Amino acid sequence: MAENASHSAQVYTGDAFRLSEAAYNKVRVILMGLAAVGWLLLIAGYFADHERFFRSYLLNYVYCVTFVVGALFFVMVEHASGATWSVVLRRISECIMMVIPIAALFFVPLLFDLHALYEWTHEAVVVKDPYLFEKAAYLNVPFFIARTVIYFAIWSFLAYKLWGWSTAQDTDRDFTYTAKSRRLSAFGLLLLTFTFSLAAVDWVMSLMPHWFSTMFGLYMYAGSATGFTGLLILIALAFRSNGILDRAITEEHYHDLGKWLYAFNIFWAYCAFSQYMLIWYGNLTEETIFFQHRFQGSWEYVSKALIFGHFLIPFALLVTLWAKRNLAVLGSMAALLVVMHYVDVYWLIMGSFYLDGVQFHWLDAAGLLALAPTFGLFFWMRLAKQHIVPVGDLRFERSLNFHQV
Amino acid sequence: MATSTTNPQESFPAEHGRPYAVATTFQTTHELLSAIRGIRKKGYRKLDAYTPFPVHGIDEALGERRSKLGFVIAGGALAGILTALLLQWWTSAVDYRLIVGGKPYFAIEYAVPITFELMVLFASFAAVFGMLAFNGLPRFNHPIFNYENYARVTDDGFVLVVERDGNHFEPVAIVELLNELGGKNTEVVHEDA
Repeated sequence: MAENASHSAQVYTGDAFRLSEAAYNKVRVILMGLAAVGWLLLIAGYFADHERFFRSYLLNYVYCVTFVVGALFFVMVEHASGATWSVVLRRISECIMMVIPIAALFFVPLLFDLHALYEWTHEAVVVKDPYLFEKAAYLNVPFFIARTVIYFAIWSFLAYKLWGWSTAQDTDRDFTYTAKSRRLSAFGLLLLTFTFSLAAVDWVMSLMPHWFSTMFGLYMYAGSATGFTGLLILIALAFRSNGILDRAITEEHYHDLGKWLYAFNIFWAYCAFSQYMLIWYGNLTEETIFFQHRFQGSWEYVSKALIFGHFLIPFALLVTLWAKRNLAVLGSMAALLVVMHYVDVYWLIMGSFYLDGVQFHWLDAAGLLALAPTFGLFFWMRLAKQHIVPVGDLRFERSLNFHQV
Repeated sequence: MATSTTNPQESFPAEHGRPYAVATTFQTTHELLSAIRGIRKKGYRKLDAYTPFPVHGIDEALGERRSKLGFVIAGGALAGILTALLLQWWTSAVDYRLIVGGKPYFAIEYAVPITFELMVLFASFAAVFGMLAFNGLPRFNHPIFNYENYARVTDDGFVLVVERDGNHFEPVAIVELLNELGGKNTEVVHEDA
């Protein structure tokens, strides 16, 4: 209470909330090194296996995009709900969110050969297939590209607006930015949910153009929110072990992050089961085919790994208060879910190409090694440019001293 | 200690019944918290506090342990899961077998929604009734209502209560101690009005 506030005022003064030059350079060099190796391998892979290059690229691209979209979602939920606890975590999330415009550029390589990915781009196939012929009004290349442009335009607009207000507030502490951000976020959350659902349908669900599920967009949305929360916990823990924000982000914040991770993981499982149960019950060929392929061959083990690794194990472990406040347990569950989110996206995308079983390829790893550090590098470069917490937010002090009731 | 206890009946009129506690009022959360720490240092453990709004850190100050309600709820949830699975399996796969929609007599897929609902229902019952049981509710009256100043709790008063602990109770000493700690309207509260 009163004592705590004066205590924190003593501890946190001046420019303490900035990345040190040394820390910035160290991580930047590591990320650049990893990205350089990744891109070299990826380019080599383009010539080695043309088709697999595009599939691996799509897999890793979608995986990375879910995190930047998850960040935008998290920031907007914070604004819309007027949350105090998460203010200390907001700048990190905002810097991840601001990778969205750059992520849009990395969509371009996919356009070089959409035929390698999407069956509905082959006109000869579409003409002979009555289903795809009917769907061609939506599933055609120009409209597909236009939609993707619109998605990124909307997300970038939301991200830029929120970022601009948040950073302007650092210097002038003007409360109206908070009010503006709240108004935009309430509306923006609707827009993001709608557009991301469609993006999931376009980029991933249309890999199986005969199959459809109205739950699919929300399923990927829930997975993105879970994955992002896991990533945020891992970043905070990595900062903590290097003495960055270690007194600002306390056990109380980790407790709430744990609840958030737990809640969204349950939501993911809820979406996954809702989708599965209705398909099981309906038992219609065009719907069951999705699960039939994924229950056969080695995909069966991937499906089971998702049930246990993405739901049952984190659910059972994170249920207690103790686990959410124990940073080792919370950190390992966050890491598990970030990995399982990859397995989930792999299951969705590669499961659409290789129906008989999992076919690993070194290009999958190369794609991740290229894209993840690249996205990370843009996040890191932005984070270093200003305060790493929103120091101008009027709730900032209260967020530092946040305690669970 | 029990033998040297002053007999409360001597110093207080018998028509008020046995003393239940000593109650006092503070003006701020800060005063309340430091008084709680002060009185705990003297060895008093059976304390309770009544405040107009939730106060951070009051559980730790009072030495409250975490409620065991969570375990009761987990038990309720488990009972709900078992009941639902047993009910669905026995009715559809044992007692009255019917093929519906070409599905197996019993399958986990269709059992999940009912199982989930019964889990939530039983857990909610366990939460509500467990909470009531732990709080000794329902009851018609509570001795703390005999404290003159108690109504202030719903407004601006932070009431600290030192309850009688078995036979060991020295109201006069506690009243003095609470007054020293800054309590106002300190009173011995009796079980009967």
